[in-house]
Amino acid sequence: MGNRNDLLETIVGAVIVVVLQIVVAPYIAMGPAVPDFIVGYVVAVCLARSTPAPILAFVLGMIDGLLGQGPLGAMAFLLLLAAFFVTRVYLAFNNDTLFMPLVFIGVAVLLIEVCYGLLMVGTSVSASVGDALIYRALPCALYDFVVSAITYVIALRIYGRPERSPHLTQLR
Amino acid sequence: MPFPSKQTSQAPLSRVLFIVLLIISIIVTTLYVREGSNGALHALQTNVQSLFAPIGSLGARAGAVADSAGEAIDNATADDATVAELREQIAQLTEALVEAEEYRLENERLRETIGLIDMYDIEGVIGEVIGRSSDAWNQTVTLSVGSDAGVKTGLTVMGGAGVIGQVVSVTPQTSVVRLLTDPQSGAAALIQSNRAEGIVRGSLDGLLYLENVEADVVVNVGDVVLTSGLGGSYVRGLLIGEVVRVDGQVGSATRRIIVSPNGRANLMEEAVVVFDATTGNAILRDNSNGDGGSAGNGSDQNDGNGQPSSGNGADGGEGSNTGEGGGE
Repeated sequence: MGNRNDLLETIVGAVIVVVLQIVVAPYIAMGPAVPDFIVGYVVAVCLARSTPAPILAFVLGMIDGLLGQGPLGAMAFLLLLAAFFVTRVYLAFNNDTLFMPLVFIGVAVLLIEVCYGLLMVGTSVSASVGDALIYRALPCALYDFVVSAITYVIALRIYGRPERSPHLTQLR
Repeated sequence: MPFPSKQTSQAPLSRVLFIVLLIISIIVTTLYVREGSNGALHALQTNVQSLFAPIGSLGARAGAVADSAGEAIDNATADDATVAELREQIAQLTEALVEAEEYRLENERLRETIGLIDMYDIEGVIGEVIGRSSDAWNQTVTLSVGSDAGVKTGLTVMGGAGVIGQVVSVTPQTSVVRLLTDPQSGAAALIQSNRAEGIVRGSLDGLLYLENVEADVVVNVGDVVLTSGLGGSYVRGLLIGEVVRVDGQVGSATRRIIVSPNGRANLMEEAVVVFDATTGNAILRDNSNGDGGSAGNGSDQNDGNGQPSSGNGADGGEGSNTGEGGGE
């Protein structure tokens, strides 16, 4: 974690997100899509702060697993991977526009939902991979994307725009 | 091409932490998948959900309160003081009316539920829905009754119109019910009119499918589907739903039979956990004898309540060929 204020803001945000997931998420489901505020928040915060925040990803992933009924630890695993790769790729390709972060958010939440769907099909849900993708992973990813994009914009206001990597100019 | 790191001095520590957490999460996932549903991690998950279920139910109430509050704020911001006062009174009256309507609807639902209990002669306990699944992959609801009220894992749960699911985990005060529409659900079922057996399964598309029905059995739209009680997972003789669509012809191995579900999670407010249902068993016993008179009895029992009676009456004539199917 960065400075103390950032830490406090991140923790407060995490608490809000967990409460939203418990209280709001089940009631704003659109058809089969239930938003995952936790996924959206972790991805958005990692991008806004340009650091993977592994503890945040792990803790919130475990909480997400405890609140749902999927395999405990699976979401923590996926969030850790997403947090790590999304920040690395973002630092390499950030061009100071809002477009690139939104693309990364979209790709990250889509991959998380697809991988989670495959895991569910592999472990407990008796459905075809196609059904899992069409009826759950894609609608949920779309919903998560909206949540994450909004969270990202708010996080930018709070943390400030992330610095560009000193290596970036050398890479391009 | 190496990826750049923002904080190079902290990078090795961060990577170690990342790898350790990754390993922990893999171990936890593996343990969770390998342990049974009574394992420690499953129990932890159930307890956490039970702990937060009352908070979750605030969501539904908060929605109603927010609507009323929005209306009240609109009224309160009117320019003229008298008009504002009158509007406030109207808002209060509207709120009271909404509350009264809520009570009326609750009363109606409870009457319906009690009617169902009487109809099937159900021995069970009514629970309020206090929580819903917060993830998209599981269709579950949390009820306000648990092991203290005699609820056990595996018991059948009924909504206002029939079977809605099965208890999958219990704490002293709450229980989690997996709905029939969940793809992980499956109930042994039979078609009331011809006693053909099958399995009703949920699916990701939200529909109920009646599977494993023999290809030569004639299934029509409107046929009533009941629990058969095979395997002991569901109490037998309870209404699951009606056949609403049959895709494919008799004799086709790929025929799909779609059954209407009895309830949707977002509309449920109360449910009955069934310990035993005498009438449901009686209906099946009578019909399985293949005796028209007996079926008539089953019909008589239900006529007053207006539910699966007609199907029973119709069964009388078909009782003979269901003697085999219903002999379970």
